[in-house]
Amino acid sequence: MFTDSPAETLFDGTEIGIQVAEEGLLKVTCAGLFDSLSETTEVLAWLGAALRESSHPEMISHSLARFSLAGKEKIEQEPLCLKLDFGEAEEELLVGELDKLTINEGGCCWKRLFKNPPVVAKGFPIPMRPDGLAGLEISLDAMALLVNAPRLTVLNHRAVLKGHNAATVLKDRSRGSVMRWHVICNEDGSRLPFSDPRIRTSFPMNEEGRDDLERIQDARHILGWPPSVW
Amino acid sequence: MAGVAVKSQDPDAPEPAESSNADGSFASGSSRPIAPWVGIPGVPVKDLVSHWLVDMQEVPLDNPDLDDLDAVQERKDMDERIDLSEMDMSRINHVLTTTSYTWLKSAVQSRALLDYTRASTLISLRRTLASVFTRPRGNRALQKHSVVVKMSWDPCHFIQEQGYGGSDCLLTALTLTCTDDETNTQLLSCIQYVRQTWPLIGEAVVSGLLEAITSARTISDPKARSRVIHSKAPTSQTPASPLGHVY
Repeated sequence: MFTDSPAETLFDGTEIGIQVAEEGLLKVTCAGLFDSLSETTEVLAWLGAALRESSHPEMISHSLARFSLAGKEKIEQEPLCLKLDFGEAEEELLVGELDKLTINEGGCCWKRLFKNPPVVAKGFPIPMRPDGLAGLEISLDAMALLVNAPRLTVLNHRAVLKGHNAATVLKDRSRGSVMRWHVICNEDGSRLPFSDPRIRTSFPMNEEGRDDLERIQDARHILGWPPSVW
Repeated sequence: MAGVAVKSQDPDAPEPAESSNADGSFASGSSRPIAPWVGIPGVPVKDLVSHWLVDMQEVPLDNPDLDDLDAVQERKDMDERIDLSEMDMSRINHVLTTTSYTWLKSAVQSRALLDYTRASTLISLRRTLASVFTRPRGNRALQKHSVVVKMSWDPCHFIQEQGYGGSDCLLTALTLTCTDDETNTQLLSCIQYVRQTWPLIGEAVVSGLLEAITSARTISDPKARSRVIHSKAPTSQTPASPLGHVY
């Protein structure tokens, strides 16, 4: 069907052809059942919103996917032409959960975890959370990647992911299978040793904490930020 | 040794109640109760539970008579097996292999896991497409449609700017993304988020995108194909995109 572009056939026979049409443009042709067609469009909208660079070098920014139907008077005809473009929500800079976490009230700033300011794709679903459980949900491997930790270390019954100048320390299992972590970092880029008092003295693990270690791979992880900790 | 807490066995305990009142208490002499193995006539459920806490005993898990403490009486109707004919089993097995069942199972799992109530962009997009493709007759789910999506997005430029050698970086755990449902935020690798949110089709769409990027590079630069094919996935030292490591 799509001789001029690579084609993918989905589980229900829906066909997708994707072309990098010209500089800065992507053309996707999709034919098949409604649900797969709709989901394909959603994936494309999320990819375009999430995989982009921020135009604000010092700020966390929200990226929005906007869409419009081309030639509204002809929407009865197929194929339907949908235009997707992307922009940053200027008015919402430094608003939102992740941005709250970046507030530097105690010495360590969340932004230090990011080389580039993160671009947050806005308006897409994420896993449900127990009420009031704030913070950044993150996979264990992504957390290790961010702090550049080669392994999980258990130090005096505390689970620690430590890189050169940053570490995350397992605080507790908050509700059910959700584990809460806290970040510690040296803002000046100097090495953070295991002997650092912020690691040695915070959040000693109890018996329940030892059980947590066995469930750590299957658990959900929330990176939280209570300023009073520091 | 850890123990389990159970209610003590009371031989003088009243017979199970027959129905529940509006206040949660149980009354006798009427229809079948929802939970016939609990309840004292006239006693609200919350008081009943409080009573349990008062009488609670610690019983070690290695108690040989542990099963005898089970206050739930065996009920035949809960343990009866349904005998299915071979034809019934054949039909069930057929249903389990259909694409419709595959879709249904995936949709149920996604809706159980994810919070769509604040996913404004996704909901808006979905509603718009649904409104356009609504037809006066027939089942929308079974009709075939076609759409052309034109995106103002250059994935080649993005991958190049992030310092990746090959477009397959989108399939690795190193390409980190942030997603916000207007209340909470989640950080996952690109492929993890796609698998989580669109488990049936997401990865295929990303694969199609990677093929398109590779084709575009091959056309624009004949030497590019070998460069793409032989390029390695970024190592752990390579900055992840669009986020990066601590420096």
